Amino acid sequence: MNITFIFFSSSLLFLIGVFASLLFKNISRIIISLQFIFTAAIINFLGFSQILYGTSIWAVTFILIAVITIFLFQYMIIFYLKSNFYQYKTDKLDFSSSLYYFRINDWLGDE
Amino acid sequence: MMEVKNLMIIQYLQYIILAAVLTFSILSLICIKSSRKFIFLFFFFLFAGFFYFTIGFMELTFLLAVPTMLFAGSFYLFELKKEIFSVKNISEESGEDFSAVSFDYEPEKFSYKKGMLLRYIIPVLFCSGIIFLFAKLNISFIKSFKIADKMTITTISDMAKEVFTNYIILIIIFVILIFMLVIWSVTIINNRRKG
Repeated sequence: MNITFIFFSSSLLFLIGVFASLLFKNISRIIISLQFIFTAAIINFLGFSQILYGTSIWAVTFILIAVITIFLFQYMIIFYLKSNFYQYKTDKLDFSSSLYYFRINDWLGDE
Repeated sequence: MMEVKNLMIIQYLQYIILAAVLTFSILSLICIKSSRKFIFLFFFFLFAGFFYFTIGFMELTFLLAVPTMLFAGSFYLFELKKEIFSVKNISEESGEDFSAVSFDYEPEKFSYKKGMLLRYIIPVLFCSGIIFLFAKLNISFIKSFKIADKMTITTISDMAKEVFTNYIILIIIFVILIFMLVIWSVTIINNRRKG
Protein backbone atom coordinates (compact mmCIF):
# COMPACT_ATOMS: atom_id res chain seq x y z
CA MET A 1 0.00 0.00 0.00
CA ASN A 2 1.20 3.47 -0.87
CA ILE A 3 1.41 5.54 2.28
CA THR A 4 2.53 8.69 0.46
CA PHE A 5 -0.62 8.71 -1.67
CA ILE A 6 -2.86 8.16 1.37
CA PHE A 7 -1.07 10.89 3.32
CA PHE A 8 -1.25 13.47 0.55
CA SER A 9 -4.84 12.74 -0.44
CA SER A 10 -5.98 12.97 3.18
CA SER A 11 -4.05 16.21 3.65
CA LEU A 12 -5.68 17.56 0.46
CA LEU A 13 -9.11 16.61 1.82
CA PHE A 14 -8.25 18.33 5.10
CA LEU A 15 -7.22 21.47 3.23
CA ILE A 16 -10.43 21.45 1.17
CA GLY A 17 -12.30 21.37 4.49
CA VAL A 18 -10.26 24.21 6.00
CA PHE A 19 -10.54 26.29 2.81
CA ALA A 20 -14.32 25.83 2.59
CA SER A 21 -14.91 26.52 6.28
CA LEU A 22 -12.93 29.77 5.98
CA LEU A 23 -14.54 30.82 2.71
CA PHE A 24 -18.25 30.05 2.91
CA LYS A 25 -20.77 31.72 5.20
CA ASN A 26 -23.57 29.25 4.57
CA ILE A 27 -23.99 27.05 7.65
CA SER A 28 -24.71 23.84 5.70
CA ARG A 29 -21.51 24.25 3.68
CA ILE A 30 -19.52 24.82 6.88
CA ILE A 31 -20.95 21.61 8.36
CA ILE A 32 -20.10 19.70 5.15
CA SER A 33 -16.54 21.05 5.25
CA LEU A 34 -16.26 19.91 8.89
CA GLN A 35 -17.16 16.43 7.60
CA PHE A 36 -14.18 16.59 5.22
CA ILE A 37 -11.79 17.53 8.03
CA PHE A 38 -13.15 14.72 10.15
CA THR A 39 -12.92 12.10 7.36
CA ALA A 40 -9.37 13.21 6.53
CA ALA A 41 -8.37 12.64 10.15
CA ILE A 42 -9.88 9.12 10.15
CA ILE A 43 -8.19 8.21 6.83
CA ASN A 44 -4.80 9.41 8.11
CA PHE A 45 -5.16 7.68 11.46
CA LEU A 46 -6.30 4.37 9.98
CA GLY A 47 -3.77 4.46 7.16
CA PHE A 48 -0.77 5.05 9.39
CA SER A 49 -1.81 2.51 12.03
CA GLN A 50 -2.58 -0.22 9.50
CA ILE A 51 0.31 0.30 7.10
CA LEU A 52 3.09 0.87 9.61
CA TYR A 53 2.20 -1.60 12.33
CA GLY A 54 -0.06 -4.17 10.65
CA THR A 55 -2.26 -4.52 13.72
CA SER A 56 -4.64 -1.80 14.71
CA ILE A 57 -7.10 -3.09 17.32
CA TRP A 58 -6.51 -0.13 19.62
CA ALA A 59 -6.78 2.26 16.71
CA VAL A 60 -10.01 0.69 15.48
CA THR A 61 -11.58 0.83 18.93
CA PHE A 62 -10.47 4.40 19.45
CA ILE A 63 -11.79 5.46 16.03
CA LEU A 64 -15.19 3.88 16.68
CA ILE A 65 -15.53 5.76 19.96
CA ALA A 66 -14.29 9.00 18.40
CA VAL A 67 -16.65 8.72 15.42
CA ILE A 68 -19.70 8.13 17.60
CA THR A 69 -18.72 11.03 19.87
CA ILE A 70 -18.06 13.52 17.11
CA PHE A 71 -21.25 12.63 15.26
CA LEU A 72 -23.18 13.11 18.51
CA PHE A 73 -21.52 16.50 18.87
CA GLN A 74 -22.45 17.48 15.32
CA TYR A 75 -25.98 16.25 15.90
CA MET A 76 -26.13 18.61 18.89
CA ILE A 77 -25.03 21.52 16.70
CA ILE A 78 -27.83 20.74 14.25
CA PHE A 79 -30.33 20.31 17.07
CA TYR A 80 -29.30 23.70 18.45
CA LEU A 81 -29.66 25.37 15.04
CA LYS A 82 -33.00 23.65 14.44
CA SER A 83 -34.39 24.68 17.82
CA ASN A 84 -33.41 28.31 17.21
CA PHE A 85 -34.63 28.17 13.66
CA TYR A 86 -37.13 31.00 13.65
CA GLN A 87 -34.44 33.56 14.42
CA TYR A 88 -32.79 33.05 11.06
CA LYS A 89 -34.60 34.58 8.13
CA THR A 90 -32.25 33.50 5.33
CA ASP A 91 -29.72 30.77 4.72
CA LYS A 92 -26.83 32.94 5.88
CA LEU A 93 -25.77 33.19 9.49
CA ASP A 94 -23.99 36.26 10.71
CA PHE A 95 -21.31 34.94 13.02
CA SER A 96 -19.67 38.33 13.45
CA SER A 97 -22.48 39.64 15.63
CA SER A 98 -22.79 36.73 18.02
CA LEU A 99 -20.05 34.14 18.23
CA TYR A 100 -16.72 35.86 17.73
CA TYR A 101 -17.52 39.48 18.33
CA PHE A 102 -18.51 40.41 21.86
CA ARG A 103 -19.79 43.80 22.83
CA ILE A 104 -20.02 45.03 26.41
CA ASN A 105 -23.84 45.12 26.14
CA ASP A 106 -23.92 41.39 25.39
CA TRP A 107 -22.41 40.71 28.80
CA LEU A 108 -23.99 43.41 30.95
CA GLY A 109 -27.32 43.99 29.19
CA ASP A 110 -28.68 47.14 27.63
CA GLU A 111 -29.63 48.98 30.82
CA MET B 1 -7.62 -12.23 13.59
CA MET B 2 -7.41 -12.63 9.85
CA GLU B 3 -4.39 -11.68 7.81
CA VAL B 4 -4.30 -10.44 4.22
CA LYS B 5 -0.94 -10.85 2.46
CA ASN B 6 -1.61 -9.86 -1.15
CA LEU B 7 -1.94 -6.10 -0.97
CA MET B 8 -1.55 -5.22 -4.67
CA ILE B 9 -5.28 -5.24 -5.52
CA ILE B 10 -6.08 -3.25 -2.38
CA GLN B 11 -3.50 -0.64 -3.35
CA TYR B 12 -5.07 -0.07 -6.80
CA LEU B 13 -8.55 0.00 -5.23
CA GLN B 14 -7.38 2.67 -2.81
CA TYR B 15 -6.16 4.88 -5.66
CA ILE B 16 -9.61 4.80 -7.27
CA ILE B 17 -11.52 5.21 -3.99
CA LEU B 18 -9.48 8.16 -2.70
CA ALA B 19 -9.76 9.91 -6.07
CA ALA B 20 -13.54 9.45 -5.89
CA VAL B 21 -13.61 10.77 -2.30
CA LEU B 22 -11.78 13.94 -3.35
CA THR B 23 -13.97 14.42 -6.44
CA PHE B 24 -17.25 14.04 -4.56
CA SER B 25 -16.04 16.30 -1.74
CA ILE B 26 -15.38 19.14 -4.20
CA LEU B 27 -18.66 18.50 -6.06
CA SER B 28 -20.73 18.57 -2.87
CA LEU B 29 -19.22 21.93 -1.96
CA ILE B 30 -19.64 23.49 -5.39
CA CYS B 31 -23.29 22.47 -5.96
CA ILE B 32 -25.83 25.15 -5.14
CA LYS B 33 -28.98 23.06 -5.34
CA SER B 34 -29.24 21.29 -2.00
CA SER B 35 -30.71 18.01 -3.29
CA ARG B 36 -27.70 17.52 -5.59
CA LYS B 37 -25.40 18.59 -2.77
CA PHE B 38 -26.80 15.84 -0.58
CA ILE B 39 -26.51 13.24 -3.34
CA PHE B 40 -22.80 14.04 -3.71
CA LEU B 41 -22.37 14.07 0.07
CA PHE B 42 -23.94 10.60 0.18
CA PHE B 43 -21.45 9.36 -2.44
CA PHE B 44 -18.63 10.98 -0.44
CA PHE B 45 -19.69 9.06 2.69
CA LEU B 46 -20.08 5.86 0.62
CA PHE B 47 -16.58 6.02 -0.85
CA ALA B 48 -15.09 6.98 2.52
CA GLY B 49 -16.79 3.82 3.85
CA PHE B 50 -15.23 1.82 1.00
CA PHE B 51 -11.83 3.16 2.03
CA TYR B 52 -12.34 2.09 5.65
CA PHE B 53 -13.38 -1.30 4.26
CA THR B 54 -10.16 -1.74 2.29
CA ILE B 55 -7.87 -0.58 5.06
CA GLY B 56 -8.84 -3.29 7.52
CA PHE B 57 -12.14 -2.31 9.03
CA MET B 58 -14.15 -4.86 7.00
CA GLU B 59 -17.42 -5.58 8.81
CA LEU B 60 -16.82 -2.79 11.34
CA THR B 61 -17.54 -0.31 8.54
CA PHE B 62 -21.23 -0.95 9.18
CA LEU B 63 -20.77 0.13 12.79
CA LEU B 64 -19.30 3.39 11.53
CA ALA B 65 -22.14 3.79 9.04
CA VAL B 66 -24.85 3.90 11.74
CA PRO B 67 -23.89 7.27 13.32
CA THR B 68 -23.01 8.63 9.88
CA MET B 69 -26.47 7.82 8.52
CA LEU B 70 -28.20 9.23 11.60
CA PHE B 71 -26.23 12.45 11.31
CA ALA B 72 -26.80 12.75 7.54
CA GLY B 73 -30.55 12.18 8.04
CA SER B 74 -30.86 14.90 10.69
CA PHE B 75 -28.73 17.26 8.59
CA TYR B 76 -30.94 16.66 5.55
CA LEU B 77 -34.10 17.34 7.58
CA PHE B 78 -32.54 20.57 8.89
CA GLU B 79 -31.67 21.66 5.35
CA LEU B 80 -35.16 20.79 4.07
CA LYS B 81 -36.90 22.78 6.81
CA LYS B 82 -34.55 25.69 6.28
CA GLU B 83 -35.42 25.81 2.60
CA ILE B 84 -39.15 25.89 3.26
CA PHE B 85 -39.20 28.20 6.27
CA SER B 86 -36.75 30.75 4.89
CA VAL B 87 -39.18 31.51 2.05
CA LYS B 88 -42.16 31.44 4.41
CA ASN B 89 -40.64 33.93 6.85
CA ILE B 90 -39.83 36.39 4.09
CA SER B 91 -43.36 36.18 2.70
CA GLU B 92 -44.88 36.72 6.17
CA GLU B 93 -42.78 39.82 6.78
CA SER B 94 -43.24 41.53 3.44
CA GLY B 95 -46.87 40.54 2.95
CA GLU B 96 -46.24 39.29 -0.58
CA ASP B 97 -46.87 35.78 -1.78
CA PHE B 98 -43.61 33.95 -2.44
CA SER B 99 -45.14 30.51 -2.78
CA ALA B 100 -44.19 30.35 -6.46
CA VAL B 101 -40.53 31.03 -5.67
CA SER B 102 -38.29 28.03 -6.20
CA PHE B 103 -36.41 26.72 -3.20
CA ASP B 104 -33.03 26.76 -4.95
CA TYR B 105 -30.59 29.26 -3.59
CA GLU B 106 -29.27 31.98 -5.76
CA PRO B 107 -25.49 31.98 -6.17
CA GLU B 108 -23.64 34.64 -4.25
CA LYS B 109 -23.07 37.69 -6.45
CA PHE B 110 -19.45 38.54 -6.99
CA SER B 111 -18.46 42.12 -6.29
CA TYR B 112 -14.97 43.52 -6.42
CA LYS B 113 -14.80 45.04 -2.99
CA LYS B 114 -11.76 45.07 -0.75
CA GLY B 115 -13.36 42.84 1.88
CA MET B 116 -14.54 40.31 -0.70
CA LEU B 117 -11.07 40.04 -2.22
CA LEU B 118 -9.55 39.53 1.21
CA ARG B 119 -12.18 36.88 1.91
CA TYR B 120 -10.98 34.87 -1.08
CA ILE B 121 -7.25 35.60 -0.86
CA ILE B 122 -6.67 34.79 2.82
CA PRO B 123 -7.93 31.14 2.65
CA VAL B 124 -5.98 30.56 -0.60
CA LEU B 125 -2.75 31.89 0.93
CA PHE B 126 -3.31 30.00 4.17
CA CYS B 127 -3.98 26.65 2.47
CA SER B 128 -1.20 26.99 -0.10
CA GLY B 129 1.26 27.80 2.69
CA ILE B 130 0.19 24.75 4.66
CA ILE B 131 0.46 22.40 1.65
CA PHE B 132 3.91 23.81 0.78
CA LEU B 133 5.13 23.13 4.31
CA PHE B 134 3.55 19.64 4.23
CA ALA B 135 5.26 18.75 0.97
CA LYS B 136 8.64 20.20 1.89
CA LEU B 137 9.00 18.87 5.40
CA ASN B 138 7.24 15.51 5.30
CA ILE B 139 7.97 13.76 2.01
CA SER B 140 11.45 12.46 2.92
CA PHE B 141 10.19 11.44 6.36
CA ILE B 142 7.29 9.42 4.92
CA LYS B 143 9.47 7.69 2.32
CA SER B 144 11.74 6.41 5.10
CA PHE B 145 8.89 4.35 6.63
CA LYS B 146 9.04 0.58 6.37
CA ILE B 147 5.61 -0.55 5.22
CA ALA B 148 4.18 -3.73 6.77
CA ASP B 149 3.91 -6.61 4.28
CA LYS B 150 0.64 -8.00 5.65
CA MET B 151 -2.62 -6.50 6.81
CA THR B 152 -4.62 -7.58 9.84
CA ILE B 153 -8.40 -7.53 9.93
CA THR B 154 -9.91 -6.78 13.32
CA THR B 155 -13.13 -8.38 14.49
CA ILE B 156 -15.62 -7.34 17.15
CA SER B 157 -14.35 -10.02 19.56
CA ASP B 158 -10.82 -8.56 19.33
CA MET B 159 -12.24 -5.16 20.14
CA ALA B 160 -14.11 -6.58 23.15
CA LYS B 161 -10.89 -8.19 24.38
CA GLU B 162 -9.06 -4.87 23.96
CA VAL B 163 -11.72 -2.96 25.89
CA PHE B 164 -11.61 -5.44 28.79
CA THR B 165 -7.81 -5.44 29.03
CA ASN B 166 -7.01 -1.83 28.22
CA TYR B 167 -8.69 0.45 30.74
CA ILE B 168 -7.59 3.68 29.04
CA ILE B 169 -10.38 3.26 26.50
CA LEU B 170 -12.99 3.06 29.26
CA ILE B 171 -11.55 6.17 30.89
CA ILE B 172 -11.68 8.00 27.55
CA ILE B 173 -15.33 6.95 27.08
CA PHE B 174 -16.17 8.20 30.59
CA VAL B 175 -14.49 11.59 30.04
CA ILE B 176 -16.18 11.97 26.65
CA LEU B 177 -19.59 11.12 28.16
CA ILE B 178 -19.20 13.80 30.84
CA PHE B 179 -18.13 16.32 28.21
CA MET B 180 -21.12 15.54 25.96
CA LEU B 181 -23.50 15.68 28.91
CA VAL B 182 -22.27 19.15 29.88
CA ILE B 183 -22.68 20.47 26.31
CA TRP B 184 -26.12 18.88 25.98
CA SER B 185 -27.34 20.34 29.28
CA VAL B 186 -26.02 23.81 28.34
CA THR B 187 -27.93 23.62 25.03
CA ILE B 188 -31.16 22.56 26.74
CA ILE B 189 -30.91 25.27 29.43
CA ASN B 190 -30.34 27.94 26.78
CA ASN B 191 -33.41 26.80 24.84
CA ARG B 192 -35.64 26.62 27.91
CA ARG B 193 -34.73 30.16 28.89
CA LYS B 194 -35.77 31.40 25.46
CA GLY B 195 -39.03 29.41 25.60
